[in-house]
Amino acid sequence: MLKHRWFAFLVLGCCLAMMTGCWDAVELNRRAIVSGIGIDWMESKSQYLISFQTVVADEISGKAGRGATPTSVYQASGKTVIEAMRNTSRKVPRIISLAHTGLIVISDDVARNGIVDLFDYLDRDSDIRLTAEILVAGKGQRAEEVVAVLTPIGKITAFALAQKIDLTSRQLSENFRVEVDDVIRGMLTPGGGPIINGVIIEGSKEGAAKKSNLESAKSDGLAVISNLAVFKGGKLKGWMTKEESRGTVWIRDKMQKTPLHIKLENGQGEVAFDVMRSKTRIEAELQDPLQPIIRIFVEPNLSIREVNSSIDLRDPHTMKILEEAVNKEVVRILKKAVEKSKRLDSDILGFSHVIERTKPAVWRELKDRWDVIYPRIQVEYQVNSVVRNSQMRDRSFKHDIHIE
Amino acid sequence: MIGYRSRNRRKAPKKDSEELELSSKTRPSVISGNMEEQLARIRTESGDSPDIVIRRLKLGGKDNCAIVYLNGLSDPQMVNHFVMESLLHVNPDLLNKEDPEAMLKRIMEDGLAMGESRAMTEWNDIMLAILSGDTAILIEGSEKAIVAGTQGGEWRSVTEPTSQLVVRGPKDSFVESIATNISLIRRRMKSPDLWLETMKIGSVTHTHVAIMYVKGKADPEIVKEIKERIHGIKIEGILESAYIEEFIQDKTVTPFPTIYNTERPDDAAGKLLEGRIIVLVDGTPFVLVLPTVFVHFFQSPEDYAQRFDIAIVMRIVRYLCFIILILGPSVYIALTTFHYEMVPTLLLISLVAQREGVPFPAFVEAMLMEIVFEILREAGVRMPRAIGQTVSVVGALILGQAVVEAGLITPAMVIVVALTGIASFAIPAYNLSIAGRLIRFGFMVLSGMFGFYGLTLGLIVLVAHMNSLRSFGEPYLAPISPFRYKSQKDAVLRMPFKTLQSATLTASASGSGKQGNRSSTQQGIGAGSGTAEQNNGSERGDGGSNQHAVAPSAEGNRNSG
Amino acid sequence: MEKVRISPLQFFSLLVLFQFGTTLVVNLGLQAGKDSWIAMLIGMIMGLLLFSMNAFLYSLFPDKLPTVYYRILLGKYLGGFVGLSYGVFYLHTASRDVVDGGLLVMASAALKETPLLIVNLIMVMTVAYVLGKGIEVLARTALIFLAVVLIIGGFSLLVILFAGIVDLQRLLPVMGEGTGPILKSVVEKNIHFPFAELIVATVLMPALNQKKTGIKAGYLAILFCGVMLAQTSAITISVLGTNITERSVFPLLTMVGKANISEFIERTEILVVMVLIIGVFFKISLYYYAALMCTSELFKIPYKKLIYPYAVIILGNSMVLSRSYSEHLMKGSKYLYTVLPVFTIVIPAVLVILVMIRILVRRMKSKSKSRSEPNSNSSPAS
Repeated sequence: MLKHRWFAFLVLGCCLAMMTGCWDAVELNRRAIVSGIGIDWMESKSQYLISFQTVVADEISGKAGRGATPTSVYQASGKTVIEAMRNTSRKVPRIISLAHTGLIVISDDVARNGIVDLFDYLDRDSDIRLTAEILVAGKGQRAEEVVAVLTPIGKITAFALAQKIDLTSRQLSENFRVEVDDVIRGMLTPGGGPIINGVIIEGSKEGAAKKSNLESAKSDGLAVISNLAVFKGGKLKGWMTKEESRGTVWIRDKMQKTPLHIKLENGQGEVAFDVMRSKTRIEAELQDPLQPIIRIFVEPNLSIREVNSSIDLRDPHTMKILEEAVNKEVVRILKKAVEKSKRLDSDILGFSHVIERTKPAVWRELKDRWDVIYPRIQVEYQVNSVVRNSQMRDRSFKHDIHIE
Repeated sequence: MIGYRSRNRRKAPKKDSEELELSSKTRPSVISGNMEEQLARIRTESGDSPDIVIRRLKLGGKDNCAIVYLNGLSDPQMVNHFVMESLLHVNPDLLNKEDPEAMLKRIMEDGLAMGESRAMTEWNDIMLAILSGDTAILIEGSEKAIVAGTQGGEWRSVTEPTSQLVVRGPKDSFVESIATNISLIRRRMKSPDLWLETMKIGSVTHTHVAIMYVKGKADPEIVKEIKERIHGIKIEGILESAYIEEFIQDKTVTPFPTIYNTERPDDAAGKLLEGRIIVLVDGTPFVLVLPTVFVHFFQSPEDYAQRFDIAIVMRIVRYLCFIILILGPSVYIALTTFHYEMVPTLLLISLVAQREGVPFPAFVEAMLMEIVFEILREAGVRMPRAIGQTVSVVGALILGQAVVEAGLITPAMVIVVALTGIASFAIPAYNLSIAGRLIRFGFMVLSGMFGFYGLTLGLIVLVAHMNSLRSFGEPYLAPISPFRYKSQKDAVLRMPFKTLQSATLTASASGSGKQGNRSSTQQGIGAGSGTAEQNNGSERGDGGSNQHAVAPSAEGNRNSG
Repeated sequence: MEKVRISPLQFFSLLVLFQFGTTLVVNLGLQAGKDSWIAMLIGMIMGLLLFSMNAFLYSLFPDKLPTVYYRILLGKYLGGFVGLSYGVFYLHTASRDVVDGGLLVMASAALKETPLLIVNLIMVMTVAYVLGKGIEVLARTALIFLAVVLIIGGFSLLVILFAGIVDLQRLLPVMGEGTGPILKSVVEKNIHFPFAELIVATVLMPALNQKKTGIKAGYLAILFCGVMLAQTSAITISVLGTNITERSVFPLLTMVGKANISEFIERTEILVVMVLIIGVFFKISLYYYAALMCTSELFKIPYKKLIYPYAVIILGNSMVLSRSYSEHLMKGSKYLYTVLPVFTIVIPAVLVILVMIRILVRRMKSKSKSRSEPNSNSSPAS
């Protein structure tokens, strides 16, 4: 009995081994690893033009390098993303593998036409991660140009760009990571839309895609993270300025570090601050259901970085004055962001969620008219900044020199 | 050893056939009073082997005595000094020349300066005693013979263990002599509760097999079971304890060893203290420990010589090594061919770069390298030490590098294979690491076909299989599953000694009346001749109760006697 | 009945893995939206009540398989029929879970092109092999894999928390839609899945070696699972938001895929896939075992002889169950509140009522008897 069973198992196992072969086994050298995707719109064919930035692995590591570029771009067009992807198989000798895609660049015109169907693919596909970063190429620039750029530091441009976003959101906080699911959630926000980081090429677009870009100390062209793009639903509505971006980041409570520049009253000079950390809280007051009031509380902690003034930083009173000035400045920045979002009539700041969280019942009433209410919504700001330190010195030496 | 034929078939023929009939069928099973006849029979039966020494003596003037011993197996010192000399110095007047039986008694009582001596009548026993190195004294007219314990001969002396090394800890190891081995354990445990039972297995080799256990700690049921299983063995020869192991292990198809073996006396003593039973086999330094659980194979005597926290880390490392050993290459295959999305991007790029131009699929690559590795190891193990070094250098360095440079195998695969190889060496028990290496191939096939899905199901089957194993009734994964909280202190972890109570394994401390028939024979006899009155091959079945609490060496007896 | 004994700890781990089984995998829609974790907790409480019915029946008939006491309570033919239908029910549910597992494997980026038949085949073969070793081996294996699952779960939880992707605000407002959707979800889904499914525990209970502790372990298993499942559901929603969670075929997988710590610890989904496979394995095993025990007891066939025929049935059934995943899910959620409650709620409840009546009748009788024979003391039931 036992022997029979083992025998049966053995035979079955052998059959399996022979039958299955390896349906799903794909050797690594049969894959083309895609690091970034660029999506453009071809007016002439009214099709998507998809550019895959693929990694040329042996140029990056390994001895077999031929001195070629570390990435190469393959393009194909199609009515849908999957069609374009399949069309590349005529051009690429290997399976386009999207699992490591770190970056997806959408061109400005695609974004203006709407990204809903695009994102259904990105959401649905089991290969592409939700963690892939989304960028919108700035006005007049094409996504294919962005993915074709070569970057001197960090050989793979897509990953380098993703790192740039990470870095700038930590250092400057005028951007923050926007991933596939963030965009989808943004599109689902009633009366709102996602905000997506922008990217532009500084310098020569042609030069940026050439290998010579890697060989000169001063690059011909560089892909640079730019300001936020504002969407309503699935469509691009407009671009923010630097300050509006910063305000948006602040209201979304993604603020990490940012420099602030304050001009003191009475011509006393200027002080530059660094926000070290900041906490934002949004509340909704719904006394009158038709006139919701949004209150934004911000508590930034600051550090003094540059003093071009002779004020006495040892004096607690001076600190008070400085904090007052900072409060005003922050409110100004916040206001700019809110105004912009009102002007574009897109609730990118998530006020609807705040109302829903506070009073679900009220929200159910407001829901249908939110588009109308939003531009007229009343917003109050309350900033309470604290200057924590002034680095290694207190007074500036300017305090002690007498310039007459 | 000298073949000792024609013993199984014969079943006690009548005593009256005393003539010099050499036909094997009619041979009597007891010795007769005719000394010449007996000596002739010894010669014939052993094929007139030159190493059987027959020395005739004259006691009281007559040519009436002969001593027989096997040159090389008996201790010449003992034979010369204690047998010959004392026999020659027996006062002739004391010997009753008329009655050979009385004379024999006299010699035994007054004449022999030997600790171990006794009178025997069974022909087979005497023959066996001679072949074991004892000296037989035959006296004309007596139907008994004296067998004096003169076993000796050359053994390898106690040296450092070769298979289970420790940095800190005792440096002695078992040798091929069972008496020495018993003494090594006895020396560590001076307790009357340490009981020893011996038996002889092998219809040709008559190998001494001894089981030792601590009475009151070992489960009497298991002791009984082991004895029954050992008695049930039907084989011509036992040359290594592995023979016994294969016969007495629980019958299951499995690559896993269900019986632990050790060549370290301290290890064996430790297992005895846990309430386990050890089986010693003459002629091999490897001692079996039963019942065995999986965690034993990850314990090293070193653990008890180091601080407990360090010991815990070392043990965890060993378990980790086992996991690496069985899963290393298969995880690599699954990751690279099925789940490339799992690999961190930069690592993936470097792997892709390595794979450029490599002709084999990852699965074949892994199989090839693992097989090459097995070949290298097999070559290295069997080689003399000096050449073994060369083999490993050639194999590991030159072959590995050449294979990578030729672009046949990816460097990453070489790393993985080398890692599993090293991991296999980190497991203290050799037989478990062999099992692991075997299983590894199964997992490679599974992951080559189904990726992590196959791997997960394979793991489930593996664990279920291990759970279904038993070693003498003890579940193989014992203290972990079924979970026994009390046994955790020295299973996967090694708690400080303060908390380590003497962990008995299953039995309660009550010794139970099982060994009631154990006679009070604390006779001082060496292990060798002590078994002379054991049943031999044909009558083995009914003799389970012949037990002796045996002191290990003749010296001890001399002191007591 | 094989003479095996399961310790309470093993019983606990079997039940926990059983409940994790497909519940972690399958997404039957989030009727309760953001509050599905509350629904899960309420479902757990109902599950405890249901389990107490089974435990009560067990306390009256320890050492007896359910098929035996069905016949005692319902009579030979009706009881036999009920027992048989339980067998069929278990068998069918086992094949449903095989499909769940197979689809999970196909969809979770592991085996996209391997035929479903093969994927299911090796799963069923594994289950059959382990069951061939006996329920005790299965129970002890469960203990080890519970540890594995908990380690992986703890690790994933840490990764998710440290990755900073949890936004608890996505769970707010609590009960924004009122209690209606929650209750609806509880009734339609959360009671049955997975808690009512613990009816299979009745088949295991006779093998318990410590009756009282075993039952306690059962309650604990439900509590533990309820909390863990509620927590998982809450975390999934707070990472992905309601919408994506609701649309995901395997929300847990998608959620874990979001975790990313400094570009190194990322893409830990495969570990979660392993957990899911383990869970599905135990779920199938228990249903399979329950089906085996029911029929082998009814027809007095040694259950080991039935293992392989049943494997073929389960495999065949799993292949013809449904044509697509959505059909499978749709049928599944219908099955949950049409067929399943008959077996998990109605029949046990009827039995409990029957037993109650019996006890009452006996008491009355014994009272009337005790007037005439004061010495006789009757034991309740059996």
